Amino acid sequence: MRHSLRHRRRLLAFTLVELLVVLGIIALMTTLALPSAQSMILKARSLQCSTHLKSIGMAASQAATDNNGQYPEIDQAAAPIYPPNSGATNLIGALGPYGITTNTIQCPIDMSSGTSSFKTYGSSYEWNPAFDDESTAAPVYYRSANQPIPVNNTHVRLCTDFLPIHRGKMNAVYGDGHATAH
Amino acid sequence: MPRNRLYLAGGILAFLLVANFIYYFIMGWGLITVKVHDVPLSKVIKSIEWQGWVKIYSNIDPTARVTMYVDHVSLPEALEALAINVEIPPSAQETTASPPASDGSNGNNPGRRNGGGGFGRGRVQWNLAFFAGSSSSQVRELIRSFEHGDTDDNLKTYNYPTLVNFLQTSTEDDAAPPVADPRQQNWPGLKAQVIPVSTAAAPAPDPAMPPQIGESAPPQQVPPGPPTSVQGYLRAFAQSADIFIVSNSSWDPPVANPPSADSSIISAIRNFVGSNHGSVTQAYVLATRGRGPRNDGGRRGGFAGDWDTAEDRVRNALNGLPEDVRNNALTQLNQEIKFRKDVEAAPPERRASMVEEHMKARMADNLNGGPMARMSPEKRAQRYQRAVENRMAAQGK
Repeated sequence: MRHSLRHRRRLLAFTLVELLVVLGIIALMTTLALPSAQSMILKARSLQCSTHLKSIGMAASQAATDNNGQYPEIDQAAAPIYPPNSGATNLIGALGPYGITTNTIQCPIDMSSGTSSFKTYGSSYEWNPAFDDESTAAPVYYRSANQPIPVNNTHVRLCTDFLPIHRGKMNAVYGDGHATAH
Repeated sequence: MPRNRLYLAGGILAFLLVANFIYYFIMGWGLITVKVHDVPLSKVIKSIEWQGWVKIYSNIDPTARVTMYVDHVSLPEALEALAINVEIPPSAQETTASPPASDGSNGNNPGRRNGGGGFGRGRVQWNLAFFAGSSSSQVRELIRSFEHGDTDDNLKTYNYPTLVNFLQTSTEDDAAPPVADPRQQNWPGLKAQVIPVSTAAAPAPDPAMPPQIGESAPPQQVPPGPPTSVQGYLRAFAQSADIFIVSNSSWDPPVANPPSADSSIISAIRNFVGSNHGSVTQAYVLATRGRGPRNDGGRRGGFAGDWDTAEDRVRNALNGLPEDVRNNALTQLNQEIKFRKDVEAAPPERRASMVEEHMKARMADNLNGGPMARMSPEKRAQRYQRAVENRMAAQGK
């Protein structure tokens, strides 16, 4: 009787080899699925980043409306280009009144990276001052003082990531309000 | 028995770990990651060499500072970012010499990388290079001369411009267009007519300007014909592809049989040099542009007035682009060719304005792509500052 019970238990239980094989298969499948899962996570974060950029674009547009239709003067966080007394300020300073907060200028991927621009420059996003004070209706890029190049608003890149952290590319918001998510 | 099972379990786990490691190793093979802030150039070069399994020679001061960020990118992408972001001290820009170009090539613009990034990019260029000489010791000497910027009269460099980066290959408006891999170029075989080379010198072309489309070709001073010696064929290789060849003019034996068309420019050059009892080293070069002696192409430099050869060279360089953007680039190239023909057919007084309008439109299109997207934030800030200063100057502020 006792012998038969043991035998039955043996038949019902998994052997170590069976368990290891199952675990191995699970581990292999996890390994294979990891890159695509990671890719989906990155894409979701990139979309969130793109939403932040869109908010910045909308705020800039509102600021321009209050500034005779001209883009506001916002200084570069990586290397200031305006003199200290020029009145140019940072993203929060210029667009804070239009709803931009510290949370808006944080890209989720940038915040989780080891080379976070937010930690280095105080913002995950870089404003492009090349179009500051330019009319939103007909912006011009000055390659040289006597070589103005009219630029379509769809090409006016207002704000981008500092680094190509979205799978080797940078998200950006443009003068016409569209934003990219890579 | 339990011990056997333990061994089995250990074996399976070890296998999984090894499989995992191999998987990630294969996935990341040849991809480069460099995230540095203000480090010496020599350190970055060593890192790229180690990760890409390549050799890079440079004539730039190894202490020049580099700030760059690339994450799992191809070797050409990494070299492009390096070329854009290396900061050469102003004093070194004047003194850093390059090997002289003594023929109808790209002046002393060593390593001018046009396939995917050479055009309008900055003072530093990179390219796939071949150092070819009569023996390995001569090749070593060529490399040494290149790195030290010697100006030996016998030192020959062959490099012809291709404006691949002028073509907006990326369909995404804010992304850097892919960089063409020069290793993917072909050797189409010798054409009936190879660009003749004169001894007259011309200034190196301004890389920030496109060739003067409206100009007519300068008179050819040497009758065309197939080359008869090694140096002539090295020149023909460089004319057919976006590569950089350094050789010594003293090594110029006659060539009985021209190199046959090969699928790869790399194997064609290697086979050719080998069959002529020479030695060749393949590497990458990273170098500053300098003022070069005159060449036969006038302002056009390596175009040498032969647009057909230049167009063929661009098409060859486009082979290095990913397939999904290559067709787009070819379409754009055809548009540029059509525009050039339109300009040539236009009255002379109209040509300048046509070119100016065309250039403005292209610049507006390319404003955000290419170099800007690969620059470090600090480097980009410099560019922005120039634009702001230009605007203030234009507005009289």
